[in-house]
Order: sequence, then structure tokens, then C-alpha cells
Amino acid sequence: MSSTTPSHAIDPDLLEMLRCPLTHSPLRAEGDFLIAEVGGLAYPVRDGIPVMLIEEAKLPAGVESLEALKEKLGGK
Amino acid sequence: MQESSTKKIYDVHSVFYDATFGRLVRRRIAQAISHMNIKPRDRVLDLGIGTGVSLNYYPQDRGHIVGVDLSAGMLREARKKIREQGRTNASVFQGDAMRLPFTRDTFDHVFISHVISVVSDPYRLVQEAQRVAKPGARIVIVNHFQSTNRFLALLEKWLCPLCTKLGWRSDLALQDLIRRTGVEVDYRFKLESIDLWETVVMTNTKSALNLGGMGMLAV
Repeated sequence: MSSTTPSHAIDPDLLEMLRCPLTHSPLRAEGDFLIAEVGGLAYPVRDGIPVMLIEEAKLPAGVESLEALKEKLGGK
Repeated sequence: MQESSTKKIYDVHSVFYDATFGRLVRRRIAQAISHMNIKPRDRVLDLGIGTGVSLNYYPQDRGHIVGVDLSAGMLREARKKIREQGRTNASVFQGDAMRLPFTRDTFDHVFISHVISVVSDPYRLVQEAQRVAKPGARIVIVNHFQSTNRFLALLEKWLCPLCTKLGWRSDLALQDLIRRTGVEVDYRFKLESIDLWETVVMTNTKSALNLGGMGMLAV
């Protein structure tokens, strides 16, 4: 059952209270992902369930590891 | 890491869970939820919702239930229940209870049922619950806490190897939790006089939290 069924649009009220667990920044819905405003981690929505785990998130382009991302953010 | 092995165990057990361990916890969960007094526009966070046993006891017509669990397998069962019940007031998210994906001051109630001792840092879990709960929100914990009765403490020690199979440990004392997180206990009760589990009802005072000094990274 791991087929890529399209995610249901997430309720705006729920999206408003959701935050990136790494940066606590708000998220925006884009396709099957919820993307953090700060840091750009993309959290997948699998079978309609948002997966809000840092280790499962897709890294933004040009960042090779989670450690590198943390360093970049922490260094600001 | 403890969380990843816990996640694996629960993924495997999710199908059988309701028929075994789940049966034991139903009564406690029903009782605990009845102490929440959920109002129409309240938001309820169910931390470690698992297969959604608690969904059988939340009101259908008031409040919005937000369930979080580390295990995708458990959450699939929970979502199945939401659909079967025709519920429109519940949603689930996969997440780590120690790094909650919510903004502060969001929830009117936080329910932490049978989960506090399966995480590697129970204090951090409670601090996260305090962060996302509104000031004055109700935090209800159903858990086993180390017994102050010497006989029960011994019995627990004897049972412990079995319990650790389910990621359950009995070295957590409620007093330590109160001291380290600053939660304010309103009242606590057990279903029977000898019950290894206890329901603790607390008010979110946020007194021990240093929310002002939150850095860029929630690490």
C-alpha cells in the first residue's frame, strides 16, 4: 500500500498550527509535501498522513545532509 | 536509538495491539477522557494515539482531536477508525512526541496515555506538551509510575523484563516528573486500589519553561 495516492488538501486551520519540528517555522503545502519556510525541509504526506519527522523529510536542493542544514541554520 | 526500535515494535504489533494490550487500557482511557470536559471549539492533542483506542471515547460533536504517533502502522489503524466512525473532528500526524510539529499555545487539552515511559526522555515529552498546550490547558497523563509501595515496587521489578518488550519501563517516579517539569497536579486517581496505572490530571502552568529563550533550532 505504498503507492503514491494524492494527498488530500490539508485543512487550513491545521496547517496554521503545524510547524517544522526542526526550526518551528510555518509550513506551506506543495503537492505531496509540506515545506518549511525556514530551512526548507519538505515533509512528505503519505497516504494522506503528514510525516512530520525530521529524518524522513526531503532536504532542500543543494544541501547534502541534515547535519549540514543544521549547521547552516545554527550559524546564522 | 530507543525511538527507532520502539517504532519498529509498534509497527509490527499494530494489528494485534487492539486485541491484546489495547483491551486493558480501554477503561482507563474512557475514564480519563471523561475528565477532560471538551468544549465545542477545543483542540485536543492525543500524544501517542497509537491505533486510536481513544477515538472510541472522544465526543463526535465537539472539539477537534489531533492524534500524533511515531508509528505509521499504528496511525493507519487510527485513521481506519476515524473513517469507520465517520468522524470529521479528528486528524492524525506522524511525529515525534519529543519534537512536536505544532506551534506553541495551540491545544486546550493534551492527553498522554500509556506513552510517557516508552520514550527515551519523558521529561522532554512533558515539556513539549507544555509548550504546545495553552496556558491553563489541561494535561492528562495515564501511565504507570514507580510505586511508592515497597511490595508493588518489587512486583513491578519482577514484571519489568516482560514490559520492556513493549518498551515499557517502571523507573519513572511522578515526583521527579513534577519537580523537573514544574507541572501542577490537580488530582490523580486509580481505577482500583491496586492498579499499576494511574491517571494524573494537571494544569499547564508553563512555569518551568524557558520559552522566551527559544533559539532558531528546536534541538
